Order: sequence, then C-alpha cells, then structure tokens
Amino acid sequence: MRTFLFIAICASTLLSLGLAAENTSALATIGQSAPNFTLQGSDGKEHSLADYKGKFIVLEWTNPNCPFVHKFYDSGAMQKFQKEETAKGVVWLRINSSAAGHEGSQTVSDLAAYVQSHHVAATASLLDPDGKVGHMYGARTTPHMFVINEQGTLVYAGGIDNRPSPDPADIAAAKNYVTTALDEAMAGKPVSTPTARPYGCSVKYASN
Amino acid sequence: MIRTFLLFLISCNLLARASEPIAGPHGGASATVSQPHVTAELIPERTLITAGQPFDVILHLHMDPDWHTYWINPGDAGLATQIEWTLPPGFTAGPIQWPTPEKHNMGPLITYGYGGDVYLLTTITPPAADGSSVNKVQIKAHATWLVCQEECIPGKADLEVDLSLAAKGALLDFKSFVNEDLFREARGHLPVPNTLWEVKGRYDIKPGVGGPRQQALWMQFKNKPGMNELAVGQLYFFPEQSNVLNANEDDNSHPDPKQKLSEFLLPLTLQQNGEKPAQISGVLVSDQSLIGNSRAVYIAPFPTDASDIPVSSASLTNPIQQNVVSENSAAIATGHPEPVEGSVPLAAQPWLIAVLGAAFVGGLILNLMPCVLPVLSLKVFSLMKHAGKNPRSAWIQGVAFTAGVVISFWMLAGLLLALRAAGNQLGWGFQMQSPGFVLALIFIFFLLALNLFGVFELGTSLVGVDAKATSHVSGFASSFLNGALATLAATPCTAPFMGSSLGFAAQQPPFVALLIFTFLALGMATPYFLLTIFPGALRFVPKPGAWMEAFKQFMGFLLMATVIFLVYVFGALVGQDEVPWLLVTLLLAGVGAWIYGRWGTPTHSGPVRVTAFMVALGFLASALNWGVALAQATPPEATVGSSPGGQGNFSWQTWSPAAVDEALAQGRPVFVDFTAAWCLSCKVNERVALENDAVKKAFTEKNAVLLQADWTHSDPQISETLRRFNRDGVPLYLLYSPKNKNAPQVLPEVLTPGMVLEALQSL
Repeated sequence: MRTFLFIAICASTLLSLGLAAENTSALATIGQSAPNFTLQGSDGKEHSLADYKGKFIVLEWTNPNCPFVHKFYDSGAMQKFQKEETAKGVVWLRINSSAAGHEGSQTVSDLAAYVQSHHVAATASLLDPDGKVGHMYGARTTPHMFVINEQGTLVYAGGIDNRPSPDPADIAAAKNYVTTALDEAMAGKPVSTPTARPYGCSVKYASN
Repeated sequence: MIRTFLLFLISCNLLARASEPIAGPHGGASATVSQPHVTAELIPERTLITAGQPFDVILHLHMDPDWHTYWINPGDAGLATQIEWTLPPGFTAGPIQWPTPEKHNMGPLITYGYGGDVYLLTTITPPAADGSSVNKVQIKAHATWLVCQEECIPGKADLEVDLSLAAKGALLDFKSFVNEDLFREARGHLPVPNTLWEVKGRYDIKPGVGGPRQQALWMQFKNKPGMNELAVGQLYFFPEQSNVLNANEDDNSHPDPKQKLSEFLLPLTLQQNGEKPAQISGVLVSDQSLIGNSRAVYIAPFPTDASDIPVSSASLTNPIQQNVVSENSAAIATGHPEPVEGSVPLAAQPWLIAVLGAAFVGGLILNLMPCVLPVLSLKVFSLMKHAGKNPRSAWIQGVAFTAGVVISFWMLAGLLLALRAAGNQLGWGFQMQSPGFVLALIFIFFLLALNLFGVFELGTSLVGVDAKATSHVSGFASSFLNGALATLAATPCTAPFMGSSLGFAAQQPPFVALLIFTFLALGMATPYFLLTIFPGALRFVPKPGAWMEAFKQFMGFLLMATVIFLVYVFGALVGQDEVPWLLVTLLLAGVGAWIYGRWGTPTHSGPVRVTAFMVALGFLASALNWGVALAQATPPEATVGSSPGGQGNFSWQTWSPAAVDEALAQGRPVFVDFTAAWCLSCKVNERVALENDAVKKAFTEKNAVLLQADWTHSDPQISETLRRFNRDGVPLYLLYSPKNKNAPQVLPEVLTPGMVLEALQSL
C-alpha cells in the first residue's frame, strides 16, 4: 500500500509541477489565466505580461490609422480613460499587431513619437508585428479590449463600448464595458458583461 | 392618322422602356452623392404611390473595385450600413432587406459584405389617405456606412426622393412603374424564405484540432413534412448576430455535399470569447440550388436550447469519412456521440472496431513494458503456486486479476474524464508542446529507469507489495489487487507509447472512452488470464532466475532511450543551451535516488532512514525546481532544419499562408509538411518518403516549392490550418496545385514515396 501511495504521489506531483511550468500555449479564454507574452515597447525595452503580475491589466489593441481609433484618440477620450484607470493602479498596455507593410505598421520610433504627440497615458505601448499575441488573444478589431484581474484571469474580452460607430459624439452616452469591468473586478464582484461585440477596423495581420 | 400617331406613341414608350438601363439613371432617383470610394443614391420603386400601399426604395451603393461595405453582421470587423429615415407624417419604414452577403478575407480575418454594387431594399408604408387628391411627398434617408479595402473610411450621404401620393383606388399610370426591372433584379439577390426545414440549435462541444475540444453551435435541419430529400452541397452559414460564430468555419463540418438528406447537422465553431444568444438567425448559402434557383435561404430566428438534438456524427463528415461514419452511428449507442476527427481514412473497416482492436493490441504490448513485465512475470510465478493447489481455483484467480486490471483502467478513465470535464485540455500530442509536461515525463522515466537498474527500490519494491497484499487477504482479493497494482505500475508507461490511442479516447464521448480503456485493460490482462485457462502453456513461460534481474535492468535501458528522446524534444522546445543544465538536474535527481536507495532501506536505523529520505527529497526538489525554471526559458526562433529530419540540405522554407499564395501565383505547385520535433511518425515519414531520391527528383522536375510548418511550439496559425483539414495534430501533408488553389490534395499520415510521386504526377 505504501508503495502504491508513493508511486501515486510522485507521479501526480511531478505531473502537476510540470503543468504548472507551462505558460504560453493556450488561447486567451474568459475565466482562465491570461496567457503570458513578451513584446517590445516604445521605450525599446521588452515588456512581459508577467512583469505586471498581481495588478489589474487592460490590453488595448490599436492601429494609428483606423477611424475608430481616431474616434477615441482625436477626442482625447481614450487618453482620459487611460489616465483615470492608471491612477487607480491599473496597468494599461496598448498593442499594435499591424504586420510590416500593412496599414498602421509602426517602428519603435514611430510608436514613441505617436505616444508623445497624442499624449498617450498608457503604462506601455507595445509592438506585435508578427501578430502572435494578437492571435493568442483573438484580437480582431481596433480597438479590441481585454481586462485581466489581479489573479491573472481574463475577465473581459470585447468591444470598448456599446455604440459601434466612428462618431466621437457617441462616446459620452455609450456604456464603457472596460471601465465597468474594472470597477466590478476591483470591487471583487463578478463582471456582469464579460463579452461584447468588438467593433472597429480589422487588425492588419499578414495576408492569408 | 390618329392610329399611326398612337402607334408611334406606344412604340416610343415601349422603346423607351426597352432601352431603360438597369444600372444607370433611374426614374425618380435622388441625386447621387459621392463619398470616398462610394457613390450613393436612393431609388424608389415608383414615383406615384398609393395611400396605404407599401412600396420599396433602394439605397444603391456603388463601391470602387476592391472596396467593400458591410452586411448586417459585418463579421470579424467592420460596420453595417445604416439608414435613418425622415418620412412624412404617418409613413413607416421597415428594416433593410439585405441581399445575400459575400465573404471577404482581410488577412486571416473574415468579413461579410458587398463589393461592386449593392442594392439595399427597404419597404415603406404610406398611411391610408384622407381622400384628398395627389400630394407631393418627400422621403429622406440619412445613410451611413463603412467602406474598407486595407484601410477603412466611414461615409455618409443625405438622399431625398420626391414622390406623388395618390388616394386609394386611384388608377396608376403605367409609366410610374419606372424601376421595375431594377427592383426585380434586386429582389432576386435576397435570400429566399425557408420553406424546407425545421431548424433548431444547441450550444455544445465538438472535437477540435490541436487538442482542445471546441465550443460550437449545433444546428439541426429537418425536412418539413412533405419536403423531398435534397443534396445540400457545400454550405456556409452567415449569422445575423455578431460576436457569436467563428467566421473561419470551413468545409470540415459540412454534410456530404452529394448525398440526398432529409436531415443533417451543422456544427459551427463559436467565436473565441464570443456570446451565446438565445436565438440565432441568418443566411444559409450553398454552392448549388436549394430552393428553386436560389442558393441562399434565410433562416428565421430559431432557439438555441434544443436539448433533444443528437449531436451525432451520422450525417456530418468529410466525404472521405462518409463510409466510416455511417457505421459509426450504429456503434455508438448512447451518450453524446461526436464526429471522428482526422486521421488516416479507414475505408471499409468500422473505425470503432479498428480502434478497439488497436487498444487490445496496445494492452498486450503493455505487458512487455518495463513498468509491467517484471511485475507480470512474478504474477505468473505466483499463479503456478495456485495452479499447483487447484486448477479450477487458478482460473478464478485469472478472472480476479483481469477484473482488477479492468477496474483500475476504469478508474484511470474516470480520472481522465473528470479532468476533461473540469475543463482541462488533455490531448497527448498537444501536451508535448509544453516544456513543463515534457520535463515531468523526463523525470518520471529517469527515476523509473534508475529503479530498474536497482539504484533504489520503491519501498520493498512491487514484489514485496504483492506478498504483503496476499498475506492479508484471500486469494480472490489478492489477485484482484495484483491486477490493480499492475495497472498502476503501467500508468507512466502508457503516456508516450499509447499516446495516440489515449489522445483519441480523450476526445471521445464517455461511453467510447470507457470502451477503449476496457479493451486496453483486457489486452493487458489476457496473457495472464490465458495462462490460467491453459496452465499447460506455463511450459513456455520462463522460469524465475537471475535472468529476471538482467531483464529488469535491460528494461531500464529502454526507458533511458525514452529519456534521451524527451531530452531532445525539450531542447527543441526551450533551446539547446538549456539541455546541459537539464542533464545536471537529472544528475541531482540521480544522486537523490542513490542516497535514498542506499541509506533509506529498512536495513538502517530509523533516524538514518529518515535523514536519508529528507536529503534525497531535498536533491529531488532542487532538481525539479531548477528543471521547472529551465522549462520556462524563451524558445529560440524556430528555423527550418532545426527540427531534424535532415532537411537542411534540401531547400525547405518556412511555411506561411502568404508563402503558399506567392508560390501559387508564380504557377508553382506547393508541398507543405506539417511536422514537430516530438512527432516520431513525422520523422519517419520525412526519412522514408520526403528524402527519397526519386521524390526529390520529382519535386525538382515539377518546380515545386517545399514549405515546412513546424508545430514543435504551439502556433495558432498552424493549429487553425490543421483544424481546417480535420486533423488533431501532425503530421499533415498538403500538395497545392496552381490550377486549384483552394483545394489541395491531402496525403495520408503514413507516407510512402509512391504516394508522393503519385500525387505529383496527378498535378
């Protein structure tokens, strides 16, 4: 019996340890651990999702040329959201998955200049030119938003608000799913709307 | 004279109508508004309308070539065209009646919309008149849209049409039906109402490629009473609701296009992190006529809570698997049977019997595994003891042993199913992409090999346990326990050697998984059982002796060979630089095992044993800890030729969909090899078939482009492509011909040079 137990314990310990070491394979799914990634930022340095462990994190997929991104940035609305949430300790990461040669593709210096000129108030702006992280999270539009709670679980994936239009006048009256999800998650409550239709231009991945 | 004049008038009228272009200036249309890449106009069906009688108007958008506007559900991205009406009092406007949409690729994303010209119909209903004569009224539309090529540009237009409103009963001048042809054509582009099927839906899972099962919407189509069977062709369902279905749903889930069916199922993969509305509606499009001449049928909203849909594979396959699956439906009795995924087409054999046969043989082979054989031979010797006493009793011992094995396997199966139900993604091939999992296997096998070498014993080894067990319980129970122990000892061995069978079981419904495990168990218990029935065969069973020790140690070397393979896979996953360090961790683990083996035995005093155990545990723990850290190293850039198969000397390039397109555009055929470092059958196929001289010569002659897709690390693009071809994993071999870009030849999983040559000849 002792041997029985010994073998069983050894096997299961090893297996669970092994599985715990896993980090990058899964596709991001609501209710599960948000997969880790490492991307280069506008400061030229590498940023990993794991660097921000223990914080609330917002991922914002963006494309500088998309009219729907203009809707939020030209009006200053997105910068306002970024400022408000980062002030609460939320980590806000912007990600550009435009492939080289496609609309919105940026180099590190382009991105740094954009961050400067648009007064971006995010924690970091990252480049994902081979689209790996975009595919991992299933980012389809710009903007496409994701919220991760302090335990590292993905709690929201979807559009930024409920008014899919390119008109900035719609922002004020719209229900912002991201700020709502953050408020609920920070209060320890379950997120009432974990997913909503993402709207915007398509993410410019490399052609099929 | 008057007659001639009238004739002249009539012929002018007829001529005027005959030369009326369908495209081009339309009677009563609004001014054309030009926006970037789009021109818009509003066209009424007729300019003289009657009170109380609905009439249609068309919003006509003309897009520049390669620019698209969107359908009610734009797909992965985009925005549907919208119309806000400003109408005279009492007038009401209905929703846009959308023509059948088209699919457009935007990179790997898919959108639904229109190119060229689109005519969006709306029905407007004037109020019943108050008896006054003809009035002038104006209909205004504020149209907004998004038009995209690579970039997207929002657009809008304010359009007005002037109409004459006549009282009810007023005679309508024939001339007022100015745009009949346009409207007839526009209505022809609408999907037709569904008069064929009762449609129901349910959210459930279906097997996916790359390990995890996928969430899907199962749609059941059943012929309405009196409707004939129909060959439905290749189908695609456009849902009107956004953020629900994965637009990339491909032909892998459609019923046999040529078979006439009165009922069929469509499982449609759900969008990643999408919604699950209570009702779905949309347009079902086929490549052939469904109702009348129309290939598009509008499916009105149907509920998605139909619990009585049998999510069965009976009518749901790739044409190749049609034979296989129709027999499958007989074999699968209860539970939630699911479609068979991928694999070598089993032409005439019922697949389930083949799999169970394989499981049985696998079980037999298990007896040879280092984990089991030492135990088993000793069981046989204890059997001889029982046989000596009473032949009948021996037979009962055999049954007890078999029962022990079978039930233990059921418990294993239960564990697997519980884990699966808990949402874990258990797919063996898939796990080989995880460095952590490979690391765990490495440690388990290394330690097990050391045990077989005799570096340490597990307690008093399995032999001792057997004796302990039998000393306390009666014969029947002791044999049962022996069976259970043998199973447990076999567990670490089952993973790599029975990978495919178990991976398959993991994806099957509970009933089938249990069957597979049962046959595995029976295979393993059978030799022992046979020996109890034919004790005479004991003559052929080797007698105990020193050879047993040597045999056990030999098995240790087999395990070490597995460790070497796994270390190689680990290196491919996290980088060769990590491998020497991994070997050091194994050394540490080995030292720990040795300490335990030497000073942890009962021949030493209690304190010594405890210390030894703790020290050994310390070594093992630090080795594991270090190993886990190594497993988290960032994998290196995957380069072709880094996964061996020795293809570095023949020009294989890295696969990407863009590379395929490029090569086909140049008129060259493309051969794609989907492989992975840990896939043994891939390596064998590469060596046997792809590096064959005749095959290489044929590739050169055909000027083929050779692409390799390396799935050693998880790659969503590769996983998606495998799924599209109905495969759970690698290998997959595709041959694209420039003449038929969208339908590559799929070569079998077990590849011979002949198959490749044949496929190349047929280009």
